[in-house]
Amino acid sequence: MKIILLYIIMVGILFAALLEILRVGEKIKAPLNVSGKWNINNISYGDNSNDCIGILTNTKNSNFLIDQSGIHLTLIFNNSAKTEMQGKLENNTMTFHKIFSVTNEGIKNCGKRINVGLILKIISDNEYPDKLTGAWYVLNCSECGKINLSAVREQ
Amino acid sequence: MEFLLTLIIQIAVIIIASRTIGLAFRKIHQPQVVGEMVAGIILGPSVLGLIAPHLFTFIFPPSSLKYLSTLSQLGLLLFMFIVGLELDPKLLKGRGHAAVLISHVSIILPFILGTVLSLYLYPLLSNNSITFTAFALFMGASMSITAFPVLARILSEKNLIKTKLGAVTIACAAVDDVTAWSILAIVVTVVRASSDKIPVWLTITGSIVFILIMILIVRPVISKLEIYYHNKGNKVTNDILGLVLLLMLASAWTTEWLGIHALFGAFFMGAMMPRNKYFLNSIIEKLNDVTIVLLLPIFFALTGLNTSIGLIAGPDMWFYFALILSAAVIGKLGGSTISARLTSLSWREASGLGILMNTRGLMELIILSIGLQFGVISHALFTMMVLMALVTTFMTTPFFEWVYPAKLIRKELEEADKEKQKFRILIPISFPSSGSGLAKIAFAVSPNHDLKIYALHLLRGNEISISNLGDENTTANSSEVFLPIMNFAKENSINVSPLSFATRNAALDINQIASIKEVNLIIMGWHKPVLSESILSGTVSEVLREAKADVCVYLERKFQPYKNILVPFKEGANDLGALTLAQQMAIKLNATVTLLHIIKPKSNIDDIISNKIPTGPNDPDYDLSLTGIEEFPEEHLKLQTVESDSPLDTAIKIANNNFDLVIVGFSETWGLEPALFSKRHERLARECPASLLIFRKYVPKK
Repeated sequence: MKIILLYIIMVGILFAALLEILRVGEKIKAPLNVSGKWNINNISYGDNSNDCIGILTNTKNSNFLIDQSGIHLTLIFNNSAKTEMQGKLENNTMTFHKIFSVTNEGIKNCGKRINVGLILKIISDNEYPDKLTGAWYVLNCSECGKINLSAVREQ
Repeated sequence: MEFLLTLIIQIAVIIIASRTIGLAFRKIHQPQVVGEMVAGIILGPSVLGLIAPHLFTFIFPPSSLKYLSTLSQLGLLLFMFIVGLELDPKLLKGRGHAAVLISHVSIILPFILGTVLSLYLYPLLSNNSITFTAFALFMGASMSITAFPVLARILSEKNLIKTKLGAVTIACAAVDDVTAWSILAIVVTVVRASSDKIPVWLTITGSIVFILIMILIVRPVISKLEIYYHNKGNKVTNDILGLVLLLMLASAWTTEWLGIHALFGAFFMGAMMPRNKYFLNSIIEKLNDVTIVLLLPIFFALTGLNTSIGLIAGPDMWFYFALILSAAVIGKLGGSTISARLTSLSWREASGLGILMNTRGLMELIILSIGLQFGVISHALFTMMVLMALVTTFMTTPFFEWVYPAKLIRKELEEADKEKQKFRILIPISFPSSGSGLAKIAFAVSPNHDLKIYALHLLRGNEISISNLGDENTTANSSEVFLPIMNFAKENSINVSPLSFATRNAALDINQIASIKEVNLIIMGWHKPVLSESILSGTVSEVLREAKADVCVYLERKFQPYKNILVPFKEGANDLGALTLAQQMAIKLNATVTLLHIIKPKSNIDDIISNKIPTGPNDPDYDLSLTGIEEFPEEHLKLQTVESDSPLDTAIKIANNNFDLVIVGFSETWGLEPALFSKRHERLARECPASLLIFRKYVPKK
């Protein structure tokens, strides 16, 4: 009797709790799914930008992969170095940052370490976004202009 | 054929890594499987990929991984089939209720914590292609798993299987296994329902039909395999093995097609195989080596290749990992410990059980790989969960040794041995009034060393269960049925454990309890069946026939203490056993035993007794000693020899001469063994005015 009562109380209550959690959880919104391969279909270079960060896009068929874990993103460029950047997704905007060491003389007035940022905005408003627009920029060097881009998701 | 060269190199590297690192972990008293899991991670991007990226890309080029993946899936199918084969329902015998409670709480609590944690993690680590229900159910399922094989290995290595803790833990883990896989099947159905083209109704109805077909049709049909196995000289031939593998593949294919995973089909077919220990062991032996040494390390390597510790970047990601680890440990270890404590285990035993149940090992990796395959969890979450599995498996041995030091285990084993040296008697009690009479007989017939009595009160199906086996000293004490026997036990300092539970088949339960508790003797009271006038029928008859212990049936007509005891003696193990009981009683009660030796007319006692002495190992009575007669104290023994053609008539006639108790062997000679339409049947029981004690000796089948 003791065991059966314990069973009903412990398992029964926990099971009821589980149903309640699932009910509450269904109202929670998860970030948009952005993982997968994105092809860069349009790119425009600002002043000196090719000298500064052109290496990121120096392949014929520029694309990048996004590995998503919720709001946490890892972006891998399909360049020769397979450059990786860590970033976050907030609302419809992805932001990435990475500090690169420059191997040559460095960019005038910028030193040998440049802090590169990438902002990508989701422009399609469906549940499975397929278009992005954004820009690379260098945070610690006003000499370097932006590289604007847009990308479409590979289906 | 370049892929083959790559595959061979990959397999060779995997085997070398898993064997060497596995052995190294054994050296530090960790289960080998932990080392094999670590080997997988070392071969992946987290270690090899980081320190030697070119070598890593050379050995594991992305395009080659599909071949490894195929081999690893095959390994998992075989492994789950073996897990199903090893599923042993006997583990639950005698501790079913407690094991089910501990196991279910230890599953549902981490499950709940996993789902609660999902409320926080879902918006951070998932995305809108996965529903909250799928994510939360999967997190719950992956938190609640226990690695039965690792746990069994730890218990066996620590020599704990025979202790109470070991027995309860292994039973819990067995329940855990079945429950967790059933839950996972439901979770997979829910997950696939939102992503696959297979309709949910087809998955659910198909699964029910599949289970029914497996139980009602496939199991009876494949039980014939056992006959075929016997006909082949108890050998699993290649034909049998081929057939068994085909059945496993067919079952796996069906469950995969139905939308639950192929692994469930493999597991289920394993569980459906005939439960002949030797047959199962032969199959396991044939499959185990290639699975454990070759195929599972490939699975570990693939898991390692999918595990990238670099993905847990930044303090927030490590914070999520800490949350996951805490929820897993608190839920599993805490849940098992508390529920075990509530079912009468001590705090130390309960926490030992909790630590063992917290082992996740390979089973966790299997679940995670399913989650990754269906896209329910991301690579980063997969990595966190793999690390959680590693940490919980790794912590088991040191934590367990801390709670349960080797010295204590030794002491428990010694106590268990001591307990086994006690003379153990099982007394099924129907009514309160019969308890003390049976206990007095138990006390009188036991040899002089320690006596342990199990008082068993079985409730019929329409009554309510009041206690259980695991709870020997608490709840049942309060039952009125046990009061007289407990009072007698207290007065005579006898150790009595009351047991009580509901039954559908009283005889079967009595026999099972007798086997589990390894009792030396069962003493049953007179039991009048509903549909028969016969005394030795129904439950009593079944116990007399099937119990793997000596059995006494007691009919109380005169009240104890007995001073004048008659033992009719002719031949056989049962008569000799009756005489031995009489000897014990004579000494304990200071009574006189009259040995009524009935011989054929014109024969003499010496001739008969000399004929009874076993002649050698082929003699069926070889293992029966006559020391009972030789060592019988003379002051307690009277020998009476009677020439008679009808031993039963003679015994009844002499029993009428003012004896208090007649002790008699269960045999046809005394009209006790069932004989259809025989008028002699049970005459002794009906016509004897004295109390009667009928004895049946248990002779194990050779």
